Amino acid sequence: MKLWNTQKKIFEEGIIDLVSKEDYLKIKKSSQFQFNWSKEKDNLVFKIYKKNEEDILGLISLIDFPRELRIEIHLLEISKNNIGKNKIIDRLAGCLIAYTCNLAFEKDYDGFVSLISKTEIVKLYKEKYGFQEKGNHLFSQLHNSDSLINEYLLL
Amino acid sequence: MKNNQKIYNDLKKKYSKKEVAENFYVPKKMTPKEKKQSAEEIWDIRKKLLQGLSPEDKIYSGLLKLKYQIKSYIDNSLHDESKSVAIYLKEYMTILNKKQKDLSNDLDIHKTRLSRILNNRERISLQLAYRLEIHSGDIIPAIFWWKLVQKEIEKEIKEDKKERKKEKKIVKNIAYPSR
Repeated sequence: MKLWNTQKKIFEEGIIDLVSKEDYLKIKKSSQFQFNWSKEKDNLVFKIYKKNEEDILGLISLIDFPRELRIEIHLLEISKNNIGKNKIIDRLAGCLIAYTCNLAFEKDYDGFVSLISKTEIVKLYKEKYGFQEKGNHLFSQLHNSDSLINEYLLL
Repeated sequence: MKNNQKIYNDLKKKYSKKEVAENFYVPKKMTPKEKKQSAEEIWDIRKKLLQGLSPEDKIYSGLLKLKYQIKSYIDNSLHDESKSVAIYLKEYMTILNKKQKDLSNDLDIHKTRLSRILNNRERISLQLAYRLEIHSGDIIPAIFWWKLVQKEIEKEIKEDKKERKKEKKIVKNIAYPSR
């Protein structure tokens, strides 16, 4: 996947993996993450990091709803060093969201990913990620999910 | 320890609205009743969208499923007996609802050849990988089929002692004889 190094002005390869038991301890001790990620252990929790480096740059917690053929984003957080004007790596959230879409295709869910809508995120998710809004929810599927994968994951 | 909602509210004081939206997501705090309503609502949305899928949408979705399943497998260094060109090709035919005769006709290959490929008795050629890419409407790239073939060859090289023994008899003048 393509991470943007804002200092070197180059794309760098990122990797997304499931969070391990050891990672939870590391995250808890780290000053880079604020949320209580240990509470997410029952969900599918993924980390993003740069190839050949160990530092976790972002996390996403997902809930699989196999009967409803969808995945719901439950929690997302980008590491402190990569937020704001001085961030080193950009596109982390986009890669994590696109990875969720990829997973939703692999599971034969038509790439359907949803999250509960909040005033703060509606504009960004609609404009930047092409999500649709219906009732209390934002969602992406089919063409939009595939576009996100092409934009963020495929080198 | 603070709950995530409280942490989120603190983050909203620290960062701009845009920064918060870009870097954090915590679901809205809801009462059990609201949670139930929300769950029913998304299931309704999903059901309607599923019912509204056209036959073309279903094929498109099926091909993307196959594409990303193949990608996930070729990106993984491990070999899995349950995954092969033949298995993915059978799945491809199921998605398109095509019989061997139809697909061999579409790809302009003899049906016996397709049958041999589907029974793991012949490998697909590079030309056939290109034809499959075109046939899928460029959704499944030829390189994916080719990497699947490479994975199968890799496994064979690692495990095929019989062929190695046979070839050893043919080679003359070994550069550095192993002890």
